Amino acid sequence: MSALTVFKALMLRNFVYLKRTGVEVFSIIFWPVIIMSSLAFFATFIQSKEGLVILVTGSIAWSYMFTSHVDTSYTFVRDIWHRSLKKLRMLPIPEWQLIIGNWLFGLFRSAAMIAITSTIAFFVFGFNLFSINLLYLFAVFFGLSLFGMGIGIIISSAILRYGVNAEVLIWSVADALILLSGVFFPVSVLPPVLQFVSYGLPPTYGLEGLRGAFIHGAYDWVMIAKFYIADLIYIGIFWIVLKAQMRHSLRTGFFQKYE
Amino acid sequence: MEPIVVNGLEKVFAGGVRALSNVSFTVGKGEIFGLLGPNGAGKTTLVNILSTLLLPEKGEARVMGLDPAKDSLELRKIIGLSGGYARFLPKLTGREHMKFYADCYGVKPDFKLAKEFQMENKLDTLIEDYSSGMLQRLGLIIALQHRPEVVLLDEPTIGLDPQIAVVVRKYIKKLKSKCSAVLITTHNMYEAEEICDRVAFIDKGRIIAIDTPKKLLRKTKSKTLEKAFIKLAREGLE
Repeated sequence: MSALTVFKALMLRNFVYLKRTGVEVFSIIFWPVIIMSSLAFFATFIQSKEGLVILVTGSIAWSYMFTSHVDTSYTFVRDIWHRSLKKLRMLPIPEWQLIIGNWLFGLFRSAAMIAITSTIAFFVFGFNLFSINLLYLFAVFFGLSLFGMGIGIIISSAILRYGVNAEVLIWSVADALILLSGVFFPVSVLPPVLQFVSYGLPPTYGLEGLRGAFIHGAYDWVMIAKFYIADLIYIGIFWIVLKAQMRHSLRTGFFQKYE
Repeated sequence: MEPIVVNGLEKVFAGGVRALSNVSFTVGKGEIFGLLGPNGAGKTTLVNILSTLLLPEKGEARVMGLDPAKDSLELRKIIGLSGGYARFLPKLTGREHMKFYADCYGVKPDFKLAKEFQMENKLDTLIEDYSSGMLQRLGLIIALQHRPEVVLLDEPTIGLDPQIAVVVRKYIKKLKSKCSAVLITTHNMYEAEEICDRVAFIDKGRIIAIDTPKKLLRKTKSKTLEKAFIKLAREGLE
């Protein structure tokens, strides 16, 4: 069977599940509306246009990356919840197809997130996300979704090790990134030690590059190249961890617990 | 080539729990082979090793010449596994699950099989409204619809109502002509007597006897496999 058929099957399965789970459909609309509405009130205290751009671009980019990472992290979680993990593992498809299939579905959900957040930003703040070079914009957002996949891979490894107890990582890792990647502020305001950590994280480059384009009209492709290189290094390392964890789970009998 | 070859398998879980001790047997072509034993005897552990879900500590296994530990992906294409406690995503229907699994195997869903297991009218019902018997039958359909060469059935009739259990047993017998080998685990000795060509008694992770049901009955001078098992397990203890 081709990888495309598998991706399609996984996306369709996720879509049907999501469609029939009212709460999850609600969450796609709920979070963007809450975040952008909060920003609208917060903006009344912000004097500079620059500050507003940082907040709005950060919110849109973070919602986008978060969705990519959540959907990839859900690769094994749903089947653990419903005790069908054994069946999923029995499928004759390699792990990378499982991960990419779920990540691709995340891309569609992320696109819905962008549509909602950017529309609200346009009408509330007069902020047009698509006013910069579209290729540059695409490069930044695709890089963010790749990092989202990386985070999803490492969280999946944790879930295969600790079971549903590791679910909390899905939310807490995203929150840590708000601080460490400078989602709502320039990295330069962080203390030197945290700046060092921040530049070790791929999204920092994407977010700095995005802010530069909106505030100064500067398209820093070198920054974007660094972003992609860092993404690939992280994905590579996380992938090795996932494969090692898979082997460990096969030794401990993790999969046989879930049917 | 024998479809299933198991040689000296050992499995020890965390805390030193020994699930399998030096287990060896082969399953011949066209054979329905039963693994019989009480709960916790090691039947499911063995099936999980053969179906690539668990790695053994020692020993080796081959299914259609493939090593479950090393050729996992290739092997999963040609085996079908169904357990007695099948679970699926609750918000999808049986038909959607059949389609999903068929797509992942690169085949078309086999709705004739659903008819064989009297599930054709239940396929558009959400899984959350399925009874355990319906879940089990869907599990069997999904395990068989890609026409596997080797079928591994872990307690396939547990919890089924007697009428459906008869249908399932009949189908398992038919599998003889449809695939290379069937390995079935059960603690229902009557079922084993009815459908298995050969059986292995397994107790506390050890194989205590392997033979045809008739020969085992003769050897132990027992009227039922249940009594034969109890005799042999007691001898093992002594």
